[in-house]
Amino acid sequence: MIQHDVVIVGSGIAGMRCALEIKRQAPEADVALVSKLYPVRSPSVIERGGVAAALGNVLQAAQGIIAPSRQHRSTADSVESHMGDTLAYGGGTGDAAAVAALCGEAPQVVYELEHMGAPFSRTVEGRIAQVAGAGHSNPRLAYAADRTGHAILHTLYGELVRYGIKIYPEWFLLSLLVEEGAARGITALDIRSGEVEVFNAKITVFATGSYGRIFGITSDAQSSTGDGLAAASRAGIALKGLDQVGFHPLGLADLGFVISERALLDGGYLLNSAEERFMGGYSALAERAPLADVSRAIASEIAAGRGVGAGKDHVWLDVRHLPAQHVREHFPHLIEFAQDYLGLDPFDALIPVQPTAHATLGGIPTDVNGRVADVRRFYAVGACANNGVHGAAPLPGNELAAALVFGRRAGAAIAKQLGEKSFLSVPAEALATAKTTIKALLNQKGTGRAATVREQLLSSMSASNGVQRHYDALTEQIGRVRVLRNDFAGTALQDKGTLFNTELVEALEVANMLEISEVAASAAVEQLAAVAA
Amino acid sequence: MNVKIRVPRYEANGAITPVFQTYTVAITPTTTVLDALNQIKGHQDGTLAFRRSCRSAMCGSCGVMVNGRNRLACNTRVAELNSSEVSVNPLPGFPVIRDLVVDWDPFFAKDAVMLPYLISDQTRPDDGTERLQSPSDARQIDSPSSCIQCGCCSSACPVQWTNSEYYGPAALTRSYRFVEDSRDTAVKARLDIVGTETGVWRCHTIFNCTSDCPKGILNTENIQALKRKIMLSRLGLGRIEVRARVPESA
Ligand SMILES: Cc1cc2nc3c(=O)[nH]c(=O)nc-3n(C[C@H](O)[C@H](O)[C@H](O)COP(=O)(O)OP(=O)(O)OC[C@H]3O[C@@H](n4cnc5c(N)ncnc54)[C@H](O)[C@@H]3O)c2cc1C
Ligand code: FES
Repeated sequence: MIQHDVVIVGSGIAGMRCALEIKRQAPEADVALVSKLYPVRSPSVIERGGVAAALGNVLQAAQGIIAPSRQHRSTADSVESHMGDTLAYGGGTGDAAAVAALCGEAPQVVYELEHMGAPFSRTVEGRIAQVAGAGHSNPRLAYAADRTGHAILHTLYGELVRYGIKIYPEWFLLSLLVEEGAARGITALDIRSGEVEVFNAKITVFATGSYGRIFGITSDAQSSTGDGLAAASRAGIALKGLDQVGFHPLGLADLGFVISERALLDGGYLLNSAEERFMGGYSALAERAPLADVSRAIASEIAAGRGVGAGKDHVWLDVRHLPAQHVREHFPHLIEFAQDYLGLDPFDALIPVQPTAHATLGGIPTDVNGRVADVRRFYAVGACANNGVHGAAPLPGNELAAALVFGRRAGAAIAKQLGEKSFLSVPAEALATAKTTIKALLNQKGTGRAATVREQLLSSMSASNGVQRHYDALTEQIGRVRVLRNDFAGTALQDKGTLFNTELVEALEVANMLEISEVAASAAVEQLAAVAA
Repeated sequence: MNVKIRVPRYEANGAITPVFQTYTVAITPTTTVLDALNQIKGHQDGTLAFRRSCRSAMCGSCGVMVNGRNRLACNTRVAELNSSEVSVNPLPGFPVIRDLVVDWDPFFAKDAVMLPYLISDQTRPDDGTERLQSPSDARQIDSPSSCIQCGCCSSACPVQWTNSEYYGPAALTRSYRFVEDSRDTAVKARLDIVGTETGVWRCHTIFNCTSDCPKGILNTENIQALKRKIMLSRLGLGRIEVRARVPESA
């Protein structure tokens, strides 16, 4: 058995920020991070657009291509403005206390990153550069070139090294240990050795990220499989709002990678099969409409048979008329994606895009300090947590801000109470149960392949739980997921070994995805029924 | 179109000689090497081990040697290789755990030696806001801070193959990223760390690390710049800006 005061599962931006805050406020605390990836490999690294914070460093520019400000610090932006935008974008359903905490503390967490050395882009005055984002009344996205998540993740990783925080890389969470209403730690598989271990902790934190991978078309990493959610659900915690998924209109066709919405804000066009702009028919803001509206419009065009591509399920993004220098400078990833993945030259060709599952909002229900109501000594932060801050849709840049703000708040809350807490014993059968799970999966008999089950799950989830949802398709999907769970029980692993068994890890991920897909589809049906009623 | 993918299989910990295995995979013009490996793993041979996460050239998980060059499996299209048989190998010079999976611990240990965090005694604004940094100073660290730690550079370095103590280009670029940061004031300590026999002086300017970097980072140039800075600081010239060429797009 391994013991640490605090065990944090997940080493993305949320998990690392939480760990750091605990060490800052309680230097003697023994904190460990357990992660199925090396920290710098975490999915946070793909985020490009920026982190939302009302720094007010850049004045609102005229619409069109946004010129860098030559003004001194503007006073145009404010926490109140950020709060208003957040609530409006979320359809007025965001939790007021959570929104106040997020918008109020976002500037501070961003300044702290700068103090840690994050390589933010700068204004001519030398301040942190900010750009406009969809739904923001002021240029509010603080960014580092077009790889903000990468910059923040690597900066926080440096802090882990500075503080000497213990990391268990490539350990896979199996279960959350709860007894008498209190968390006591986790069980996890050391991917490298195949050993299963019990981690006993005074306080357990989940920062396991999103579940975008249950969709066939998603911007998420191949490892965003909702493992933490499934483990929490198995421990008896009711997950909240799993049907809520933000779709980004600019998913690269079939691949799902996101092209920054700045391509639209800065003047890019969306074209249908007739190569005509269609957004004007859906919104007065045309291509600058909120992302959810753009996604719905694309889905409508496709449904009306005006899609392009072999499956007629894409539309075109056209940036050929934008100044090449601007594209090169502000969205190099667009050029990289088009060239590396599609073999296209975006200055010359149209780029096929389709809505992609981008932000999964559902998660473990928590308060504004990351505390999970039903289970003592248990916290959840980042994309795996749901404290209602985003409402029905996350304002761009708010997810990163949320990972930082609520990661830090949880860390501070934990640091305060560590002194008075002692270790609670872990359930006697915890280790044996976890080992049995692994052994059973290794010895499972059958002719099917887990990969086939996964492919069927992903494509059916994208088809039924996409931008447009219908009652019949959703109820059918619940049945299909149950059938797939049954199919999964009839799959067998070819790799029976213990050494770095990635087939075993993928099978564990498929099992988790099946579990939360059922919850997500059921929640979507309930949501539709509630709207209809 | 069908393409053969040839992979060495290392059965157990520490096995030195691999058995090569060849799989046939159907590809489209957009199939990446990672897609091909996923197809093999999902539908032909579940025992093939490799790493992946982001699929979009940002996380650094999938560095491998493809037809003799170190690259990311996830942004290398099979069709662009123009070969009917593609050989995929683990990153050379790294200890192999199994198949395409290498041991990252020594790599990250070297990174930690570089003190991969800002050390600064610059005063911060009283109001808690950001320190100022000019756009050109920020641009100076743009390229070296874009490193994704995929290991393609260090693994391409013949010096690293023969001397596992050598910090290697990835770690040295990390050091350079902080040495070049106008906010960092530990330049002397950093130069002392890299100005050793296991540091910059091991570099024989072979340039493999620059040519194999999937992010276009000029690793060799960064190491050369560190050497110059060390020489100048020995002459007592302190923080002297000897700038490496910054790629135009940065
Ligand atoms: C393509 C893309 C673009 C985005 N763009 C924006 C944007 O513009 N603005 C914005 O604000 N947000 C954006 N987001 C969202 C934002 O990046 C995420 O909300 C945020 O990074 C989540 O951080 P996290 O720390 O919660 O999770 P992650 O970074 O996903 O980290 C999860 C961690 O949990 C670990 N883990 C998972 N399962 C297990 C297990 N079974 N065992 C052990 N460890 C496990 C992983 O190893 C990883 O370390 C984007 C996301 C994507 C995918
Ligand atoms: S899978 Fe992340 S870099 Fe290739």
